Amino acid sequence: MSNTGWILTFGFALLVMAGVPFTFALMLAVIACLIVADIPSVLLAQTLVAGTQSFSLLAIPFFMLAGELMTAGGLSQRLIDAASVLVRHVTGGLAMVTVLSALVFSAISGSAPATTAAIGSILIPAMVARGYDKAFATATAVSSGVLGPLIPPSIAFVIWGVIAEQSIARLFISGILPGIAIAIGLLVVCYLHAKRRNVPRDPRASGAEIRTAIGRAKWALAAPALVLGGIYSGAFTPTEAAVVSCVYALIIGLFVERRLQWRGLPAIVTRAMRVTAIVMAIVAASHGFGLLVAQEQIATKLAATLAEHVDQRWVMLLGLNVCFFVLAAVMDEIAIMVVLGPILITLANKFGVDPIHFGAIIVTNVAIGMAAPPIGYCLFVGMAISGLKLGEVSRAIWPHILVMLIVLMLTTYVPEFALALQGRGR
Amino acid sequence: MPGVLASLPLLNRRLAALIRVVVTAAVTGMLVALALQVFMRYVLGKALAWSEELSLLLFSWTMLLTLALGVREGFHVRIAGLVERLGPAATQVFRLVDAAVLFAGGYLCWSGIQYVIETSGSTSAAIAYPIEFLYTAAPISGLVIALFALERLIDPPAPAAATQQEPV
Repeated sequence: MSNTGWILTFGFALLVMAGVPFTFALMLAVIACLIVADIPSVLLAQTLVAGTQSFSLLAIPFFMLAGELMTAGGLSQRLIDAASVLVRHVTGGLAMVTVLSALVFSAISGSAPATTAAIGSILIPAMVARGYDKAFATATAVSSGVLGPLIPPSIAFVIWGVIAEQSIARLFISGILPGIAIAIGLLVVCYLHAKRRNVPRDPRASGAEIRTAIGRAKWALAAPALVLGGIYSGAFTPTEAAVVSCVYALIIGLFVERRLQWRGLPAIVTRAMRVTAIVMAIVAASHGFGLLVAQEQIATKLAATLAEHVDQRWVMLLGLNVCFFVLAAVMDEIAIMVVLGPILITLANKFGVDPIHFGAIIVTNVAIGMAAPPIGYCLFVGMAISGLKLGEVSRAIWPHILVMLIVLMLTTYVPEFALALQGRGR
Repeated sequence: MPGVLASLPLLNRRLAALIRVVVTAAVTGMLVALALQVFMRYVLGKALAWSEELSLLLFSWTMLLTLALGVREGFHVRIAGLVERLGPAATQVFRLVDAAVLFAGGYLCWSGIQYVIETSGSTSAAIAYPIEFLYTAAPISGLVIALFALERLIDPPAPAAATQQEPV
């Protein structure tokens, strides 16, 4: 391997392990290559700016902002109230409310931690107050966050679409069934837990209560229809849909429900841009890194070596799932996606995996990584809300993770499952 | 020189406040431009030629400035766990990390200046704004990264704040 090859692999890994933030580890690896290989220094500035000049990626800040605006405007609370009147009388009802409201919220927000934060901050205390085990309540809110990147819109799919040069709208669709399957699995986990622990049930809501709650939630429930309907009727690009949903959240929050205040908006915008920058800094910095990796043909060589030793597609996919799960325990999921993206795509092409199906596998992996111990983002959000330690939540979350892994296997080995909603035009 | 370094925290505080204002204004600009684009297309049946390019210009600035802000606020994702196991020696490693970020910022600033000079005279595709408007974001982001990292190097933040992770 050439000097630059060593820098891009082991040098980068060393920087990451030494605690350098991913975005700067990527930049420093690029800088080292520029110096060693005597490449003009402008490449760093050029690729960093180019990494942000993508209209598709522009969807990310607006989906983040829409989620923040809806939460600040009280729309998440309305969603929760609506879900509550429908299922609270069932065994495990309140835990199921967590899953169901996360499912709807995911159709507004594209981020896993934002979903856990919006739903968990209200429902973790509520579940504990009704007799649920605190660790189970936290684990349920953490796992429900996984629906965020699977149910469209999805920030992870936007990034994968840009890396793999695939249609973002079609990738979005491939996440729907895995997302719904995980939600169903989580409902079963909630039911079994409540049954075994004998968690008390809430009284059934009256018809009038149901009508009031649904009526109050109508603006929140209409939001997913606007976003998804807009994208799939061909009216908007995903980026425009994100903008439209921000405008919608602003109008509802400021003028209809009047829970948002003008002077609170700058803080909401800054918060949304911070979480966007965490992701975008990695994506932008990986642009130059990816260029050098491509020049060194690291991806092609590695994929070729792997292909020599592995001849079955299912072995490759299993290896991929296992590697992803292990890597996600030490590394940021978005970073894995952008750094390993070129290798993964080369591999998928070699083994003839459908690119949309492959996107569904990758994003399902990414989503699970967000909730899985020890360093999933949703886990940190849940711990911050409940005040529990990592060990306590980790012990309670295994049934949830097991459900997700079953769905991951289904998504990986049954292409028809992920591709079922793609329509005939494929 | 000591005088300059002593005023660094104040300078950085003001820079951070300025960045927050600029970012809020830029996001408002993007939102208005793109909302107008959708509105014009559906209501007036006219496509806007400038809205995408303008919002992408503002997007690059927003992200490169917020990226720099992340150095000051310590919100960039990293693995701190391995180094923390080193015990007292960890502090030294984290100072090296800050030094590395300072170097990256300085290099980006230099690289960005070269880039702006090299491409000077070009204009953007649709609006034909001078390309410097876009590319200056790189050296400025690099400079701010370096300033924020320098302050951390001189006056390291408390360990708890240094390892805090913010959700995506």
